[in-house]
Amino acid sequence: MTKDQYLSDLKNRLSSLSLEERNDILRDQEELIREAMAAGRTEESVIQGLGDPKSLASALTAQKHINKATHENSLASKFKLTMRAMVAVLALAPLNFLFLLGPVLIVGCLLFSAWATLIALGAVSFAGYGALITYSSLIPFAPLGHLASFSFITGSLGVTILVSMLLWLICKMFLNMLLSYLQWNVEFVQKQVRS
Amino acid sequence: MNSQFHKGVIEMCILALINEGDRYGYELVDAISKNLPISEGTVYPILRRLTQEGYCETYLKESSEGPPRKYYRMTSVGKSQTQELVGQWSSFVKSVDQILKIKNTTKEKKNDQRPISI
Repeated sequence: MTKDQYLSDLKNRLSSLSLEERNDILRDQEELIREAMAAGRTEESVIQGLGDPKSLASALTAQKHINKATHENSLASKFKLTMRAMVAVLALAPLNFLFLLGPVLIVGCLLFSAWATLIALGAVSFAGYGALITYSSLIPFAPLGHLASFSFITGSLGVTILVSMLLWLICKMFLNMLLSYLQWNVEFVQKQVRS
Repeated sequence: MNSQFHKGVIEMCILALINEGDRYGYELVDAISKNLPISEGTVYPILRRLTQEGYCETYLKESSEGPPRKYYRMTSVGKSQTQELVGQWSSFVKSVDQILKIKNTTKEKKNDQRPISI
């Protein structure tokens, strides 16, 4: 592969990066090849040393997605970005990814059902208020009974909110753990490629 | 060289070299690979990351040998990070040397113990 072929191949594969980032990387690789050749290395040996443009591009793309997801604070965006990072790492290291798939799916389902339960509880609480108003005449022990029912429903709504906050934190933690694993994966694959 | 040692150490070396004076990419590759066997592709990604994290900043300088070169220069955050890392390295090396020394003195002591003949 010649220098121009290498750079053009790399350029095509970096389409998911921003123009600035892509040009930055291409500039660096170009300088590296040029300077190494000026120092006496052959074009072929330098380019071979740089490794396959495909895996370099996959690693860079995956790294970018991981960085974005890690720095994102909103849970919804973080989830979306983490999924994107997972796809990128899948392209890079399919076997490692499959190894991870089982546990991630299990935990994902658990968290999802936790959210579903909380939403249901929240809905029931609101329904409770509705019922309280509609059937207020049917509640025994007149004012105290109403107060007790109201307190109970508000209490369960409160618990739902508190548990959702906890669940939100747990989801974030889980995503960060997943991102750390993905990061490790990217670094591990890079080491294997460059020896 | 053991790759476990590699990872943090290369980054520290790069920071220390830039701290000494502004450098461009390949200059660092050259300086490090003279002493440590590294793959050429290792240095540039580290430089990108260090710049992203704010430890260094870049500027372009015209070069007589071709297109302008991107030079890396320390920021104040970078300077303190460099001092921190080099300090950690020095105490680490000292501690390990201590342990290796102890191992050697224990060996010598054992050799000196001879059975007393009656």
